[in-house]
Amino acid sequence: MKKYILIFLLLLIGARLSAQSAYQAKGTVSGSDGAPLAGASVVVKGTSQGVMTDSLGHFRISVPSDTSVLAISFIGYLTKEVRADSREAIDVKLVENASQLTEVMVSIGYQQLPKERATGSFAQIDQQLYNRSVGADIVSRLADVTPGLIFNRGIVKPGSQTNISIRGESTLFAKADPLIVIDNFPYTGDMNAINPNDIESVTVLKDAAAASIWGAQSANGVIVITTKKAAYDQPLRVSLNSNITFSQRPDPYYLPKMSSSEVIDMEQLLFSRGYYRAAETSPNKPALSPVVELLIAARDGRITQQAAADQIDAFRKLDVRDQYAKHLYRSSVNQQYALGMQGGGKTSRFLLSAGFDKNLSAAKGDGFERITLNANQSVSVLKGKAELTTGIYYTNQDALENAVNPSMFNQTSTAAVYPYATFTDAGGAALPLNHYYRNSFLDQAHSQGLLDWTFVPLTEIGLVNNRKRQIDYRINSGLRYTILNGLSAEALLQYTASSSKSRRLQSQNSWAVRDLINRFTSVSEGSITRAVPLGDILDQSFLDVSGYFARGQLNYDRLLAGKHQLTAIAGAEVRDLATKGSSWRAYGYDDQIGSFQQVDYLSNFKSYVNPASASNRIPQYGGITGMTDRFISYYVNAGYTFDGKYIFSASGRRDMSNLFGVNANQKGVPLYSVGLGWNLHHEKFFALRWLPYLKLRATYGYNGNIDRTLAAQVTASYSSAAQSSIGLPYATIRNPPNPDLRWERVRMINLGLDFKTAAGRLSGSIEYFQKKGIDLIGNAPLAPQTGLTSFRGNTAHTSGHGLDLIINSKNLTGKLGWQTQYMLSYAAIKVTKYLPKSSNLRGDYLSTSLGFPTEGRYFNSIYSLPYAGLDPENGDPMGMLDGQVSKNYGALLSVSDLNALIYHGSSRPLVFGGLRNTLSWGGWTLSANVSYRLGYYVRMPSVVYSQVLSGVQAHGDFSRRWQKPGDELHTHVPSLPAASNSNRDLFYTASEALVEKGDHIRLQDLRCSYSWKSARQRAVINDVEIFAYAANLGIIWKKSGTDLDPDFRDSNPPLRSISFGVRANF
Amino acid sequence: MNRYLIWPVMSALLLMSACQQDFMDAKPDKALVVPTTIVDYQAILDNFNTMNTPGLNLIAGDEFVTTDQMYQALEQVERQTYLWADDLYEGGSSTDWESCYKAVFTANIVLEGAAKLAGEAPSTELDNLLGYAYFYRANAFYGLAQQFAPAYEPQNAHAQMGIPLKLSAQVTTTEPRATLQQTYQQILSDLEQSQKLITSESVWRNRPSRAAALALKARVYLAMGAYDLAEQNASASLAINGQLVDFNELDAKASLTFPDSPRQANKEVIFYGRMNFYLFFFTPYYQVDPVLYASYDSTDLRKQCYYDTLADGAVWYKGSYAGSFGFFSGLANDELYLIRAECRARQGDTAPALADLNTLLEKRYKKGTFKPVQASEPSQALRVIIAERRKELVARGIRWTDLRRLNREKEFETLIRRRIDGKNYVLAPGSLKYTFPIPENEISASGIQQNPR
Repeated sequence: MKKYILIFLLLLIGARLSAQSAYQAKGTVSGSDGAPLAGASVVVKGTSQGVMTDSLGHFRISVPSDTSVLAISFIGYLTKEVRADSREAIDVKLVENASQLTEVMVSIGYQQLPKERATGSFAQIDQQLYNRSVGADIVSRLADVTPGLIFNRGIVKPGSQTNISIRGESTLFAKADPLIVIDNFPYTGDMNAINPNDIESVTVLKDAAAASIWGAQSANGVIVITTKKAAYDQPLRVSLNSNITFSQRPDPYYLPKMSSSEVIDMEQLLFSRGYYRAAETSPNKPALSPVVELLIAARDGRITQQAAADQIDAFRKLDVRDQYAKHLYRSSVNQQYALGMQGGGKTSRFLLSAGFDKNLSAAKGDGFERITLNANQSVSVLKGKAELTTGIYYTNQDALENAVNPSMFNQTSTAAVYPYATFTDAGGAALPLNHYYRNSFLDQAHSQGLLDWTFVPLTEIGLVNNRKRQIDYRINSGLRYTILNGLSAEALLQYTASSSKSRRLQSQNSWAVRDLINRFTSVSEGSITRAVPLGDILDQSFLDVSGYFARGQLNYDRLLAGKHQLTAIAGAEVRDLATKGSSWRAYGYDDQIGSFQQVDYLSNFKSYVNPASASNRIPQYGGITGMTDRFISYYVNAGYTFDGKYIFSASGRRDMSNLFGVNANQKGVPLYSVGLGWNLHHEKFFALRWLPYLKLRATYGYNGNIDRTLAAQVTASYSSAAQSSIGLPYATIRNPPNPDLRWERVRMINLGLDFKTAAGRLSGSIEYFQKKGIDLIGNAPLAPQTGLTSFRGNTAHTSGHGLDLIINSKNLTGKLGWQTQYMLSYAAIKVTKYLPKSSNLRGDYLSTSLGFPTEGRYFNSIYSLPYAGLDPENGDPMGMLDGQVSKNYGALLSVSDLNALIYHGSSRPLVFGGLRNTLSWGGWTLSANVSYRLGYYVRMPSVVYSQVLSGVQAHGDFSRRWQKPGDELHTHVPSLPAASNSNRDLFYTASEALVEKGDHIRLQDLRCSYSWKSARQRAVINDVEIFAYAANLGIIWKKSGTDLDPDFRDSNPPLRSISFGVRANF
Repeated sequence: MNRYLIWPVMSALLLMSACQQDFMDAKPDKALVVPTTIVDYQAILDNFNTMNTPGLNLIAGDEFVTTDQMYQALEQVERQTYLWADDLYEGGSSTDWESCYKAVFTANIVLEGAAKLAGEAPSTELDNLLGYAYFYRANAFYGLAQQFAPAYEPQNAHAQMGIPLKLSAQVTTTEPRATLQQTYQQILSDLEQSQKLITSESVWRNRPSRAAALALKARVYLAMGAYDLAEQNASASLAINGQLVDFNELDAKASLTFPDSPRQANKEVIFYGRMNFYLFFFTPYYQVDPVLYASYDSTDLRKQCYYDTLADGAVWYKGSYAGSFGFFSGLANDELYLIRAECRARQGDTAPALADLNTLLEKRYKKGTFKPVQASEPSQALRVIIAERRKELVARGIRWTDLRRLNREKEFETLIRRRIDGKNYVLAPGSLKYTFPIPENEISASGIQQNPR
């Protein structure tokens, strides 16, 4: 910790160094009523140098010469220009601009644009809205407050960074994450490495005009994050932010399961049928549950039937989920502290911040700590003509991942733990479980001198130490130089490095290690040989990411002849990012002295458990990976506004990458956009007093996306001799030559309308978009004579459209304030071209995995088999085959015509949004956010009888099953079949009976705060806010009649939580 | 701070993009290899499982049978094949067709890649690499021709359809079916190329050698009925390494009789290759044809070394030279002795033919019990040789070709009968069913002509 304080202090000293310049201009800015305007911006024209007025409206600024011109602007007022005469005070009166919408600047990562002069589709989250919610990562706060942006729940694409979709899917198989830009450069690292308290604002770029400047990475949308910066000529300000969040304990009963008693009944039934005979004599000695062991003992006369029955009845009252609640879960506590300091002199400004987070997860054993340090400073030199900026961002994360997953208690590798397991006896002493092997076998092993093989849950907890540490740096430097009036050049350089290390130490005392050692033990003539040595097992893995971005850019921004506003940028950038990973395992590790032992990975060993299994190899863990990501790009973006009314914008970008093919790099078509805007309210004929702001926008253009899994050259991957069936290292061809491989393109047309009524009573925007995916990466069938049956290349198309609507209304503006924000987003994207046809409809359409692209359908869709209810005779599920009711499950499942399946619709919400109401009274504010998701379907899980009939605790629908004639009228859960029939199970779980609408409305959160502002100008404390925030409050309405949250069918929903916090500025 | 500082930064950026060619050539993923060296191409050819040969013809042939019960448990394509149905794949794909063309594609990638290396100093390694690739391509084309094209007859070969001869790795172009004559010519010319370039023997027997190229040529010429050329090539290969395993030295009790590594393969093995896996090939789905099993003398060691009996009396085959449950379809000296014996007998050289046969059989019988085969007429010798061929070369993927060529001679005709679920099925000599249909996904994608069935 000392180290960080030292760095912090050093940076502080550095920040105070500043250069001096010759002339000083000072003055006061006031409104037309004479009241001073605090926070007005005073900029030396043609430079980047500027200051803000203080609370009395005073400013003081250094200027290059007496003849410099100062541009003075303030939100809601017309900008005024004055000569900077240094000899006398300048008093400026600004005139209100009735028609002006709050002058909002949007950041696209290359430049800041006034929103009024932009044509593209931007969604902005300002600091106040961003800080409304509490959370340790930077993107989750965008949920339910950003039009067009949705956090997908359910299946997550492996390797995805965020699981966010902006305006629906833009790709089938390539990277689906939006591009995240932090401080002008793409950020591909860990979302947890950025402290949300350092964020100034977030802009989401949604259409081609907004995003195509990001070229081949922009098709999924771009999220531009700007961190806090200080301003020039600003007194030293210190801010403090602290909050603490408590969540409820996870509910192990959320997912419905069979009761212990129901499972025991099944075990008794199965035992009477001789089901466990095979396991009793199996050479693998699989563990049997305590009930089955009791039944065996009673059968063999080792205990009386009565004694067995009594003990079994005692088991019926137990539930292992009570043990989970007691031993595995707790209420989580997350603490967050942030301290910031900023200030600015005439020619320099600086900001320092430090953050500390400490989370104790709801799963005992998991925890997280994070320290972030952020320092940035700018120095203005050459009389304000040049500005040099440097910044460093440092994060240190330390995570403990020692939570016990209930699967650790599994009875065998294929069967979950018996539901009546208990971890302690009545006296609280830890008890072993029947785990993997039968106790009789364990006793025999013990007598032969093997390590103790029993599994005691409560002593296991804590025997594995899994720790992950990560350090991230980002170092930015930038130089901006004003060449001529309105023309400037800048160079930006970012170096980024991240280093993470995972260390997993499994003690020799842990069951997993003892089990591995024992399985690889051989006993001959009383002497013991251990192929896996005694000692701990240490797994370590390292991942290093380092790279640089460099950018050179020319900026031009000038108002010509009073009517022609021209803004343009052009530049080039280079990016080189290398990822290197390595991992290895040490057997026989002794953490005291750091020694470990060699093992023989190549020989085959006999299993101690089942000597007939002779070809077991010691598990090898380790490898070396490396990825290189390189881009060279050229871009240009220009905007022209005539008379403040008509806006024309255009952008173009050319990307070359080591991921693309030769042809795409050499003669690729650039990605471009064009846009038009019309500020109707500036027109003379448009003089509606009640509608002071009305703007129309239209844009057209292309965004790109890349697929890192493909390569343009012939590629092969090596396998080691140990992986070969003949013991010779070999290579497998992964990719045929594909010199035409290129980025995916998404064409977007966006039409928008922004409005604001008088006094901002009602404001908002409505946007319609059309989105077309062209050259998406997809499969195409090939003649097998080519050596391949399918080819992955730019072969698929999608098409769709949607709507984003946002309306803000000020319902009450008196002492009691009431504001409402309503958001509605609609996005429906369908596959329009996909060449392969499924040859396995059941696997491709009826399982729960990602969808099979199908022309004319949503990519993520839900299909099912027609269901004809339950047979009133015996409760068998019935389907429809060629128009006839059928119970031929094999035939029902091997359907080969896609039209025979019921197509329900999208499995992702087509419509979503939120409604936020804010009430204020004096310093008090109360707000509530309600979110909704509509227009989609989900497949509910249900009972699978092959699990029930193997004595495993299956789904809780078991108790709702058909049991007697007449039950078919009120349940669709089939009866318990006499014998396990997997096709019957598969038919039922794929049937329409289990498909439900997912539509629901959720009370996302509630926030109550009190803020206080000092009345005095130079108070020690400027303002304070204290707040309470409750999140994940639950579902208000849902279409489906089932008990489960439609978005959380296989796992628990996010835990309800409450936070308390304070923010203060000094 | 100087205004000129901006220009060095800008020009550095431009410079960086100027040398972009190298910069852009960096491979995105370390685990991916863009093959450029002999070592890379060798590793691609060492991907043993991509070089498997067709296996479905073994199910259609007369070496193995199955029961009603096990028949139901087979994969659909295996059931269809077993009963010689008209439509084998029912819209599905053919593993045999795809795996052979995958081997062709692999060989073509190597041939095209090695051509780029040829500019560098020529080397034995490069010659070997090319020789391997030609061999693998010939072996795959030959395997395809045995299953998907009719049996070779010199008088019809110009008119009959062979297989598509894909000679480039370009996946966007397809080839029509060549004639049968062109097909065999391509196989032979690939083998000629291979034979010229390759070393005489290999340590890793999954890698081809000159002995293997010659042996495969002997096999191809036999299938073409060119007995003189078959004999010549068999002799040339046997001259390199004509060793035979004495079955008296084997452990007949071992669960698998032969070693399972191409490095320690038995000394008879010239080229270690395997057939595609099918469920049918695993015990207890098949059993050895009872007639075949009964044909061995009690002192014939092959009866113990090749077979084992299950509890229910079914006989399964454990004598694969691959030493695994996957069947051997490579080349071995026993086949060469039999090829040469047959060719010699057919050319009227009875004594040398019998000498070859007896050399082999002596190693197969229990020591002291072997009585050399005697014959006065070449035709008498030929009958024994043909019978021994079936008994020796079990489950090697050779029998199907033998059935197709021997069915043209009245004396050696075979009528295969099946009985499943009380229904009888017959495969008559000369039936169109001896040529497998081409899978539908090939026909629809490349438009090549289907076989009559």
